Amino acid sequence: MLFEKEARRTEDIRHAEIVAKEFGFKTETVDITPTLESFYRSAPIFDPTDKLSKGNVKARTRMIYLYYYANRLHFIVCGSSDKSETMMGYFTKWGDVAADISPIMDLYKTQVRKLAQYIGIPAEIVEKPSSPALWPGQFAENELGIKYEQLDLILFGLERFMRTEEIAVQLRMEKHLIDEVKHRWLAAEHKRRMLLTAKLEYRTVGADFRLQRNPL
Amino acid sequence: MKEVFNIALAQISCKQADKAENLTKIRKIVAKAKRQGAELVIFPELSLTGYVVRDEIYELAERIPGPSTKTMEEVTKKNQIHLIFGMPEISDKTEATLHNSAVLIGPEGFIGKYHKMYLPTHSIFEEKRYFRPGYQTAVFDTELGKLGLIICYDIYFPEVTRLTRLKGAELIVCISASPGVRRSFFEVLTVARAIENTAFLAFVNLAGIQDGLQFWGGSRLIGPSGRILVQAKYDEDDFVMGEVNYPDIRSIEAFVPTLKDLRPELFDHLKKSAEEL
Repeated sequence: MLFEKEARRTEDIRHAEIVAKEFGFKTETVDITPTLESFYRSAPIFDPTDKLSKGNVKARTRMIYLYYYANRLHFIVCGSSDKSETMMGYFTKWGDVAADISPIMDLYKTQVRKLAQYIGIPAEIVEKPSSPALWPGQFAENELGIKYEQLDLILFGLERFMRTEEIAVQLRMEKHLIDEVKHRWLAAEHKRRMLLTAKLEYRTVGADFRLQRNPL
Repeated sequence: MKEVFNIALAQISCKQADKAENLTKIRKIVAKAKRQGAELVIFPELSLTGYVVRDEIYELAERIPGPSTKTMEEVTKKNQIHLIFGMPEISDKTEATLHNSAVLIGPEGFIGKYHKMYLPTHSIFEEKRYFRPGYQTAVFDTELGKLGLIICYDIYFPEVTRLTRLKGAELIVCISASPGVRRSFFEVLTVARAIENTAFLAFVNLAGIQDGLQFWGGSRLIGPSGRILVQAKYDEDDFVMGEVNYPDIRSIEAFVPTLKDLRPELFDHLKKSAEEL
């Protein structure tokens, strides 16, 4: 799938083609620009200066196309979110995170890079700065305000129930930085969960219906 | 020892995982209870932290006595009042063994604590995932007579309240965090426990919504004949006062003599049958 005109970078397309060729994926090129333009025209409250809301429309439009392909071809959608961005809530709800399986969601960004290197992905892709490509010049580390090498160490400590004071001492970082990461992680929990439902009856969807993922 | 005194049932909603805000709320209500003439003020189960805190509980739990109980000791000393509230407790001996505890603090300071014995782990409850159960009932000799502490799901097991009563408690305090889908059970069980033990029973439940769970409130003080002496509103924060009058127990015990008629040998059968279940 091609990004729409505004955020399209020929380098990204070339990288996608390299990976597809390496692993034998079939590709098809879709330009979602007309769909987006039509959306912008049809929404009475559309405001082009609200970058975030507009960016979310892009992420969700990509999702619509992916699920259309999955339906038509009887495929499932494979997510590419990693643990660093998922913990930080650095994704669009129902957008880039929407998938049926998410094989690398339990690996931090720095681990994903090591894994990619190990399986032979070219260095120019492995080392390339992450970007959601929702607008030109958008880079993950700029927006998060921290390098993944530092962020992942903080998240690793939080995952292991360490207190922010302990993490600060071990990483020789200022405590307020760790507190900010922790706050961001906790504040985004709603984005990682089944919808909030009211407990009204015996067993409740998303709360205490405890079944296999595929019971049949 | 006082034979007749007023108690306050402080049915509050809590801010999840915010001890400072909950302590501020508790402190204000303790002062209000004192102004209105209460000798004892009771807050719900885990009212220091809120009930639904999941993995954050490891960071929120404290030793007892510890920082939060120390703060509350200052409050009870200043107000010359007894206080009961619930909080997650970290064991003195390990770093990740937690108890769901009830704390009793008096006008002179810390008196005692109780570890919840029955930890619900079904439906939406996941208490055994986090807490180690208690093994002892808790009865404390105070200026307000013998006070017994139990917590929420304990009330489904009549032996907990019975043992607390047999150890001398005449006022049994059940702090709770019960969601609305279970209201009908608690409304019957609280009354039953008071009647069968001919004791005063103060039930103080959480109010408000946490993660889609509506805690139903409905706190009540029940007399030894099973009469509901005072009851708080359903679902929302409320504050009600009721009178404990121990001489009432003597008059009802002659009429409903369950303790006189108790058959100790049945408990041996009960133990055997329970082991074979």
